[in-house]
Amino acid sequence: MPISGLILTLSSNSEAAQTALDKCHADPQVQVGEFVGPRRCPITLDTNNPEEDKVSWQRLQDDPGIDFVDVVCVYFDEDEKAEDSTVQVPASHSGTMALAD
Amino acid sequence: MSLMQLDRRNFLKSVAMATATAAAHETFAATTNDVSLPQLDPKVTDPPAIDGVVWDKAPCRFCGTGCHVMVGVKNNRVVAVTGDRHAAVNKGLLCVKGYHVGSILYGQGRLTQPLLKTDTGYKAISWEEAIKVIAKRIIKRPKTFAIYGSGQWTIPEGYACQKFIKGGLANNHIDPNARLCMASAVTGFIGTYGVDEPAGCYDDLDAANVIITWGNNPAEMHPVLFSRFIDRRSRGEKVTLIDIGTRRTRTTEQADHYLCFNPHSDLAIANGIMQQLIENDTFDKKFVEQHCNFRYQVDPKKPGLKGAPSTFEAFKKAVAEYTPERVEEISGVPADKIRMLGKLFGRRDIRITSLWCMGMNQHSAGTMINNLVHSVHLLSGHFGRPGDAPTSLTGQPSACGTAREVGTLAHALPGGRLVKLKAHRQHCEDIWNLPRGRMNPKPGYHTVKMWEAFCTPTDQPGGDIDTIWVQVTNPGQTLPNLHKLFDPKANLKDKFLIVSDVYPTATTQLADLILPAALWVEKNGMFGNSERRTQQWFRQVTPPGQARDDCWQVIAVARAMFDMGHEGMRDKDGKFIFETKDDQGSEVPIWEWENYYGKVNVDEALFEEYRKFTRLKHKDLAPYSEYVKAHGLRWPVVQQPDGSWRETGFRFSGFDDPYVGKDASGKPKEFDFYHSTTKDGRAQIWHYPYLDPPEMPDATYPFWLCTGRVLEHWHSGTMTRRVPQLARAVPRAYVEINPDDAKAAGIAQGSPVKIESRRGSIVLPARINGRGQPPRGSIFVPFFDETKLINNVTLDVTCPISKEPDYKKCAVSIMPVSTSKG
Repeated sequence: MPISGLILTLSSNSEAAQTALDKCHADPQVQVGEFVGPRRCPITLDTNNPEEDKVSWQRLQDDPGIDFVDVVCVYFDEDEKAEDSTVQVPASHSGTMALAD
Repeated sequence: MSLMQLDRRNFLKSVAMATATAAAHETFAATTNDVSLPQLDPKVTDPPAIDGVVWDKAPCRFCGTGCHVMVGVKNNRVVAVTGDRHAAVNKGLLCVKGYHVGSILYGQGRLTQPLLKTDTGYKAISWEEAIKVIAKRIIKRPKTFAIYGSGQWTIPEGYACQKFIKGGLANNHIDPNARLCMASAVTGFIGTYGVDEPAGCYDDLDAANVIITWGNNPAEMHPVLFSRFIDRRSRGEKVTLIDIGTRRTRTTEQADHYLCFNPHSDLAIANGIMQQLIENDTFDKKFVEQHCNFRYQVDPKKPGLKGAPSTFEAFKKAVAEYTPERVEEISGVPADKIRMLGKLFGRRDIRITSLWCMGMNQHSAGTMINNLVHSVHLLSGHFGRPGDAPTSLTGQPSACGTAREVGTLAHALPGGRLVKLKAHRQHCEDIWNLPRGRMNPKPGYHTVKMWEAFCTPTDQPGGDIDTIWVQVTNPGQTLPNLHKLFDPKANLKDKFLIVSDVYPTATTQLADLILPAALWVEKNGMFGNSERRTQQWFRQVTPPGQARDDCWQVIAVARAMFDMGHEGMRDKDGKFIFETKDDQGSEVPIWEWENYYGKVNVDEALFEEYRKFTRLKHKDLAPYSEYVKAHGLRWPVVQQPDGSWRETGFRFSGFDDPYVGKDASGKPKEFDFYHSTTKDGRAQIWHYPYLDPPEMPDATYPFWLCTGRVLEHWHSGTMTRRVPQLARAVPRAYVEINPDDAKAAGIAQGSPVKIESRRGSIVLPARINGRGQPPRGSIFVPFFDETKLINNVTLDVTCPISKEPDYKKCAVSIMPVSTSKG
């Protein structure tokens, strides 16, 4: 799974920002770096599977104590296989993608 | 997990932390002049040295921001992506889509071989056969063939298509998806300044005191640009954000003022600001007197690109009716907020930047609202100084570089030239070494007309397009009113649809011939972003299976036609129009795939030819080799006496733009609109009245429908829906409904809702109080989901000047759908 480097911009609401930061510190998937300026905080995110990755990302995005999430880098697991596509063939047009024999 | 794997992950985490910390310092230092960067671990290089990983630069594949990434490749596979700290655009940062850009190459279902439709399904065929099928079809009916592309074409790809259609076939039927997203910005710039594309640049975002988003949601659609604003605020700078929109978004969450307006009434708001500037006598008299003219539309219902000359007195009289109270009546925005905007624009001590994208462009009066927002900035003098800028953003990575600059529009020629002008056609014939008179003076069909002709039976009037070759876009999902403009093809057996793409899409559903295409760093490329920055990258991995470059596909078809004797594929000396020679002067058969990445760099050869077109409108480009060295350069790029090449940040401003004329003392003028439509160095301030849109809610269809995008997905989702993390974050389309409307209609969170317009219907789950929050009487649906085509519902009415459809408003009904089986 990817290991990513992110920058969080914490809210100007110091109480909400502290709560968000506390949650990050308590999360074993998150490593918190040293602040750059009053509200910018680099972190790393290391998850076990895509579902955890999605949940962690979404939590950061939606946290009221975090104004913004910037991405800096992502490293993929080299052994990771392409996952099943979640895309389904649309049924709205009458064509098909069936291969002829 | 083995100890070795653990060590490797720990190492990667330390690298990720060091890189993120460095990027945070990079942005902080860049905006504070604090150059005392901390001591970083000297073992962490830039980009990081990771066992066996080879790094090279590329622009991100997604939106028009033009972020630079460093791509890490190992064993012919992309294994890492970092933001490029040396890139001025993003200073090392990326958004969530850039985060996953490497994964787009490896989704399941890549197209890897040409597929020809037969009575029993699709049959795999060779490239040789595929090329012959296309060449024979075009030769049989060259005038009824069209190419449809997008701002996802690289610059050389778009240029090759442009030359093939306009220089080779001379039928001019080429148009891009940019017609559906940027065309109104183009006509807005041309009508105001006489030449396309923004005068300012992203530096404006670092200098503005006030940022106004007009129907724009950069927090989700251009997050890296929004991050500049967030970063400034986080350091305690006072930057006021005013969000003028039709629904609350993540941008609104950060706004100091949110002005929610009734759809289409932005026309009244812009007029209201100008009324205030005049009533308060706070417009910039010096700027207006020295640099502006006034224009209006004689018949607002039949507007033209250049309108008619007017006077200040007539303008004053025309905007006088847009008092704050009258604007409130039309727009729903409180009069006090209109006064607030008027006061802000009346101040000389602050800098104001306006941003917009689809909200103003996908508008049945798209050209006119673009003209009016430019006019607000001109009348107030908030123009041309860093931080003072009216700036449109683009949704596609090379909407500017390819669609607008190369000119892959039905009416355009490279470098801002026009099909209809004889002198411009002759420039092209000269550069392309074509016989005089080869090129066709009649513009081709714009997007809506092209697809309407394709979906009309050939033996009926208006059915005169019978073959379309689609590259790098997905019209089967993104055209408006699909039941009219795409679906009829299914029953028109003499129409032939060719689609080059990387994955199956809603468009390949009806394709007769599917061609597998290379994607992003699987090929060489060049993009041009929203701030006039031209960027270059090299191929870093090989494409899967038989997937090949779009540009090669076009050149191969052109050569097949040449070999079959088609005169259009020869220049006036009888040579192939894409003849390419190596350093020794020998022709290289680049139409053979094994030679395409061989002795010559085809991108470089095409770009160097294209570059000859760029001087006429002062969009000068540097040699290809300069872009190899740079992280993009903003045109005009002008060679200096010492031989170096200098980019331009601020057009028309004497302090930066080398083409600004000189005053009597020999110094550059403060401003010079040197492509003025009135040929006097002046920009145009427009008046255009508020008129009701073509379709409005009524008793049968009482809601406004607005469509758009979401953070996690790009455009029609072809790539991002194949990235599991992004697909799982937002797996399906939904309809955002105001909680009061939902309650009144008996619609619960997540329950199915039928949305119906005069054109079609769709059922989607309800989302109430989600990320986006529409006001009462309005709903929003994203268009990324190919299993839920909202464009079955949308309206195909276009702006009369730009021909861009209005995806942002039409009338619909909503009703809950029973899920009980009893």
